[in-house]
Formats: sequence, structure tokens, C-alpha cells
Amino acid sequence: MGDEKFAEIRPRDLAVVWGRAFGQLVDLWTSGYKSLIETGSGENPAIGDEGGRFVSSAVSSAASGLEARNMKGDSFGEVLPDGAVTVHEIGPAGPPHGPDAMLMNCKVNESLVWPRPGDIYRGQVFDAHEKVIAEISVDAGS
Amino acid sequence: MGMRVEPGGQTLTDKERRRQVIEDALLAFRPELRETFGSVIRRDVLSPQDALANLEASDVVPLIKHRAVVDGYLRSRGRTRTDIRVPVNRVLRTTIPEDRTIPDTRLDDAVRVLDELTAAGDSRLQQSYWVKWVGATTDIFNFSTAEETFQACNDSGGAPKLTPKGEPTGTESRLIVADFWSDLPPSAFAPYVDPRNWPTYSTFWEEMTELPAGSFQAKVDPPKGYDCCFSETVKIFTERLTVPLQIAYRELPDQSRVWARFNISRGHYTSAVPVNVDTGTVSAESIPGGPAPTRVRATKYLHWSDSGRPDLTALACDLGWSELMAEMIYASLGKVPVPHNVVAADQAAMAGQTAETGKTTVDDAVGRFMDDVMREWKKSVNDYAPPLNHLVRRFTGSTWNLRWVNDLLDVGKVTADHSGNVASHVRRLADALQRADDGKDDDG
Repeated sequence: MGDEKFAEIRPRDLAVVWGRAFGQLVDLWTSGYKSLIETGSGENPAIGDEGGRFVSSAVSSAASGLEARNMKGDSFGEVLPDGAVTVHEIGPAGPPHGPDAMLMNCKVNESLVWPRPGDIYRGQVFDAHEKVIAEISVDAGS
Repeated sequence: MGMRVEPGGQTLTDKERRRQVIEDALLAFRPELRETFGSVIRRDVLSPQDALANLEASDVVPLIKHRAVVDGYLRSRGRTRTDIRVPVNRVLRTTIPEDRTIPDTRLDDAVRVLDELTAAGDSRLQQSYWVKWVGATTDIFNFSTAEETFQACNDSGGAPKLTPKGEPTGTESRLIVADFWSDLPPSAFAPYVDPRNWPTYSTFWEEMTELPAGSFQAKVDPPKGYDCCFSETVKIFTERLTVPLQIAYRELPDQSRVWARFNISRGHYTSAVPVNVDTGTVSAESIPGGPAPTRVRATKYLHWSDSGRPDLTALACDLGWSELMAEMIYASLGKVPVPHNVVAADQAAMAGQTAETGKTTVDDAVGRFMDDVMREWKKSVNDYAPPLNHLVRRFTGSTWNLRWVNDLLDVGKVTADHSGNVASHVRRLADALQRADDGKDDDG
């Protein structure tokens, strides 16, 4: 190809070339990001808000096997019995989360909390394989 | 404390007067409250113009003035709305920072923003309206981050809490949430999170008195703080609501969170207490990823049990709770007098911090560094958008446009600027670490 011909080529005529190069860069970045997220998810479970809600992509439809445990009050140090906090699936989390991400909610059975004092209780959600999928906190007791 | 004689001959303290001004501004625009709470209001309800004139003349904090004005304007209709344009303008003028000169025409523009908000249809202050109001008028009022991000109150939620005797209440307890974000560290809010100081800077809190068997206990093992039972008295209209509270005040060792938890004290609870659920948390906490480094939040569950009086928990959100949080903002910025006992507590806390020299300083420096870098990162994402947008458009255009090189350079400049800023943060961290090291050497 002569120099003149080369000068006539517009960037978008070479879109396949720079698009592929850019695409490869994006792929590389995305793969890196995903592996970072996956690596992170092995060590750092989802973090819930104080209303007991959290988003997780690791649960899909197996929410019935989820259990909240080790719930300890951060002011008074009391520990809740298993079953005092239950985990329920609300539905797809929606953007900016991925299509697999589900919005989960924790409910407090106040009669099981009594006579422990009102507090912010923090603990973990375990899946059926005993893997921690979320760190949660709920306002329980009164 | 200043006193003032009212038209009816009644003498009010400055604090009572301020509380009444806030209550009147609420009542003037909400006739339904006069019906429900007439038996506890027991004074003439002012016209919107008079209520706004009192608000203008008062030293109520700017955030409360703004929210009262926006809410009142949205709730008013027809002629009333026309009649309050000038009083609204006057109230707003009192909230302009002293170092700013704002022409009348610009303030008229601000009132026109209220008209735009009313066109949206909802006749009360919503969070989205507050965001729009702040965005359209911050060049006039110079809102702080805390004012901009202030949210109060969402009291539509609830939960089935139990009474101090462990019995169901029958209906859900009302959940009240108010929060804001601040550029100050959580420790800056410690004096205001501490419930002992609420009566000092909130107009609705009258007393927080240690109960006879309150057994104040300082907690020395981390997290530090105290446990105690207090008798809390809040005044709304003519009603004094006294509730015995069990309080736990805590500070994490790295100062990344300070909080107070309160519940009705079971040992002091009697049938005379007007609520059977009063539990919640007030906290200031470092949270990465927010609009500012620190989130200050107050949540409270309330359930009214006194069938002989109207349910005043319905007003807790509009009156005491959001005002407490608003006062906290100005107190933390040094814009209202700091109570004496708070100063003493602060000095004691600082003395404790100096004693621990090395570790606290390094922790603080690392925390500050992370906050700075995260803020820089978030800002850089925003700054990349315009040059990147241009770059993509020029590349995908139908003709050559060599100015894409300029866009690429602009992207590079953003990178360079932000890298430079991050480098400054790194240098500051290094300096802090060096100082901490020197301190240790000096100590021995």
C-alpha cells in the first residue's frame, strides 16, 4: 500500500484492527477484574447494610439453605441464638450488579432475641456448603 | 441563657423560643396536625407569613430553615403560595454565608426553583427535591457536604419490636432514620453522638439525667466508652415526654466508629412511660465509597403506648430527630457554641491520644491516606469522562479529525494530575510515618 493510500484510510476503516486491539485490552482488564472479584469473594463475602440487606451472586435459588450465625451485639456483646435471624431472597438485584446477583434480606424473630438488649448484631451468612457468603448486621431487640 | 417575654406575657428561654419557631413553621403549613394535636399544641397557630417571619428572625440553623421553607412552599397552594414568596425570600437571605454578596435577583431565582419543584407534583419535601434544591442553589448558599447529603426523615418503615416486658406491641414500631455524610473524621462527632450532650445543643431535648440507680460505668477495655441509665426528657409542643434509657456509648480504638446505643431501661420502666419501644443507634463511622469519608446516622424505633394522649411519635421525625442531626452538623463545624463539658471531654480524649503517641498517629495517617486516595480515584473517574467522550466521538466520526490527539493528551493530563495528587498523599503519609517514628525515638 502506498503512502498516499495509507493517508486516505480513516480511523473507522481500521476499526477492526484498533477495535480488536482495544477489545483485547478490555478483555484483559475484564478478566483481571473478574479474577480479582472472584479471588476477593473467596476471602471477602458481600457486606450487608444495617437493614440486613445484601447482594450476592453466590446464592441463586438456594436461599432456603442459607443461615445467619455468630450474630453478636456490638454494644453489649450478647450473642443471638441460631434461628433468630433468617435470610430471605427478595429478587434480582438489578443494575449495577450482574444478572446472577440476588438481593437478600434478613428478618429478625424478636421473640428469639428477647431478653437480650437492643443492639446492632453482626454475623455471617453461611450457604449449604458452610461457606460464608455475606457479613451482615441487623438491628435486633429493644 | 436569654429570656424573652412573648405577646401573651409568657416568658420563654431562647431555647424554648427556638423550638416554638420550628414547631410553628411546621404547623403553619400542615392543618391536619392542628386537628390531631390540638389538645397538646394549646397555643394559636400562626399564619404561614408570621411563622416565616419568626423563622427569619430566629437563630435556627440554616439547614432547618431551608427544609422548613422548601417543605412549606411545596405544601402551600394558590394565594398562600403567592403571599409567602417574599417571606420565603427573607428567610433564605438569612442563611447566606456572611462572606457572600448575593444580589436580590439571584435570590428571586432561588424562589423560582421552588416553583419548578412544585411542578413535579408531590406536595411535600422528598429527598429527590432536596437534591435538586441543593444543586440549583449551592452557588448562593455554599452548602457543605453534610448539608448536601442530609436525609431526614424516612419514617415510613417499621418493625415488630417487643416492649420492655417482652410482649408484642400489636402494631409495628415506627422506624425513623436520618443521616448525612461528612468530610470530618468520626471522632469529630464523638461529643455530639454522646447522649449526655444532646440537651446542650438540641432544642427539643430538655434533660438527660443519670438515674439514681443508673450506675455509671466507664468502659476501659476496647471499645472504650461507658454504660449508664438516664432519664431522657424531650419536649414537643406543651408535652414533656420522659423515658428511662439504658445507654451504651462506644468508641473503636482506631476511632473509625463512635456510637451510642439506647434502649428503654427495663429496670426503670413503668406504665407511666408514654412509649413502650424506644431503641436505636446514633453513630459516626468511616465508610469507604460514600460521597464523603464519614457517615453520621441516627436510627430509632418508637412505639407509642399512652392511649390518653395523641401519638407524638408521629412528629419525632419532623421535629426532634432531624433537628438533633442538623445541630450536629453545625456543632461539628464549630458554627454553634460547643458545650463546656464537651470541651473538657475533648481535651481529656486528646490527652489520652497523645499518651498513645505512635500507634494512634500512624493509624490516623493510614486512614487519612486511604480516604484521600479513594476520593482521588472517584474524582478521576469523573474527570476522564469528557476527554474520553470526545476521543470516542472523533474516532467514530465519518471524517478525519486529527484533534483526537488533543483528547488523548487530555486523558493523559487527567492521569498525570491525579497521579501527582496521589503522589502528594503518599508523601504526606511518608511524612506522618516519619514523624511517628521520630516521636517513638524521642520517647525512648
